[in-house]
Amino acid sequence: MTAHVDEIILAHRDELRDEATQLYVGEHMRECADCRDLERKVERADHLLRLPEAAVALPPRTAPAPSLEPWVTAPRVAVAGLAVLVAVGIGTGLRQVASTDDPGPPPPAAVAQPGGAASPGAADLAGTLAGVAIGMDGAEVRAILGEPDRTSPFGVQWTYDRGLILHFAAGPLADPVGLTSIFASPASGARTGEGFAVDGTEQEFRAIYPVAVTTATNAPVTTHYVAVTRNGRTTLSLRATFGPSGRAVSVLLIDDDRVPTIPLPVVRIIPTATGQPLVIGPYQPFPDWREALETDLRSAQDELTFVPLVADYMPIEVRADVRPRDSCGLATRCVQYILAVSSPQAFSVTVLQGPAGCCLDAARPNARRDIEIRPGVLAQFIPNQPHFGGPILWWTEETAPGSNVYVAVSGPLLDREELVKIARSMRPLGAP
Amino acid sequence: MTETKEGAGRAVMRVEYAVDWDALYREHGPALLRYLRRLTKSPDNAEELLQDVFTRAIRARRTPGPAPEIRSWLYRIATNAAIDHLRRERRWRSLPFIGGGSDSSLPSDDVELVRRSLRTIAPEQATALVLRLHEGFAPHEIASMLGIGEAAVKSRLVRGRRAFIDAYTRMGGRL
Repeated sequence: MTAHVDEIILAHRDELRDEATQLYVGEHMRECADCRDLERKVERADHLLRLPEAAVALPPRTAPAPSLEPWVTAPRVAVAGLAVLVAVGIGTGLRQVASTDDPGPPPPAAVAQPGGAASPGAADLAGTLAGVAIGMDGAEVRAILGEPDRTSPFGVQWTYDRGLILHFAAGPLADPVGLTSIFASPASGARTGEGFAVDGTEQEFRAIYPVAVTTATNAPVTTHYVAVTRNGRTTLSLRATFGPSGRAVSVLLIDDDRVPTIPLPVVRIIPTATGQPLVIGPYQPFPDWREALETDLRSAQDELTFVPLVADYMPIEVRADVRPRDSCGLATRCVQYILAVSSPQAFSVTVLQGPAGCCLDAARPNARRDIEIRPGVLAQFIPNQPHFGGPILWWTEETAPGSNVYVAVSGPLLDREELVKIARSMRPLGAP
Repeated sequence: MTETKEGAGRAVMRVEYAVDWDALYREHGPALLRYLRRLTKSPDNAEELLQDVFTRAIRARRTPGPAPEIRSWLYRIATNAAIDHLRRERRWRSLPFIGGGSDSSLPSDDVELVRRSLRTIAPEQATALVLRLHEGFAPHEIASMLGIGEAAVKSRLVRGRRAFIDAYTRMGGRL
């Protein structure tokens, strides 16, 4: 018995068709407009399902404590715990608040005001946690906590494996300034400036912060929140999240006033692949992108069998995200970097590099390469539509003796000239 | 990690394995995170599930085998975690005071619409589709990973494709 053509169309991408089935489907398709439509839809659906997820930074792994339930060990839960909730304001009765996935601040239903009086017994916040204070610079934090185990590419996030994550406002890579938030899990053994231990109980928290707002999320997580306001606006806030045991699983101290507000320019850049001028903005420029890219490529170098190329030109200042990947065939490892503005995700350039023979150069060995990138290095331009990832410029190049590299540069909004400009700006890692 | 094995001569052998979970996390974490992100509503959900995957893995106290087996094993745990999450989310969505509304405020680009569509179809079908098309596993690999037959995987893929197309177009996507 032959399956209905619909079933064959839906399944054929996962199994080979034999000749007889192909013939049967072919004949049927000629007559059946609905089947042709379905095949087109399946093709498009498969393409959509293959669209890659944007690369995201790997959060620090949290070690599970044997006596705790799995969710307790994930500090993200503590922050995300503010997601969908009902807030009970002290003395204000029950109130419904917005439902959102963004773990932003809960409503300041009751806050402590320094020297002021949101409610009797209001607690001032010292603004310290784990011995470090909001506003400190990198050197001061280092003097107290030591070297962080990891830092983010731009140095604004410091992670200590013992359960502390710190964010800074900005600053040079080596020494950021303006500590804006401190996140602590019980493993850190940290205490707040007021003396609350991060693994303390709800009762202890209440005793120290009697005006704290209680928020409840998906039971059994409970979050208590206390904040300082200035000019009617919430600034410094402390959020403690408690698990079913009634003990805190995380504490977050954050000063919204210190989170930098960078004047965001609106830029008008090069004609796009569609021929239309592109306006991006407001967007946050990343003037240090070259340094970050080179640093990250250096740290990825050990995993690669070739010397990658570093780009020196981008139409606008972008954020660099470097990821080695192992999807370039057996026993080969590629590296991909994405240069993009973070928000809105309007502009991005992807540069993929692998050992020669890994990718398009294997699929299209006889492709006509007629764009000279450098003397003797010829590239091929493939005019893909923006919704399929945009045009691609690819070539192979010897970046060091014995290091033959496949390179592909693409961007949904770039035209041929911009891709060539980027390609010509590239130099082997380590070369002046 | 400790495991006790009974040898051929009935001697009891105590084998100690040192598992470098940090190294496994660094190696497989990024890919698993992208896989989970495809199936979840927010990056926070995906990160939370990733932590859950490694917590489950560590608690399983199982001896990881060679590299391909570890990868497959972690994907199996991630798939089970994702299915649990999707089922739980579906239950929560049915409650009147949660959900609704929030989805409409999400960006409507293709990838987001794909994620939203996947969350509306059967979790087993959604995970099969993502493992096949996003992660690039062959049906027989998915079958051995999930401990089901290859025919069952293909069936999930066929039903999943149909359900996905319906969901995607219902949400305003154009195919």
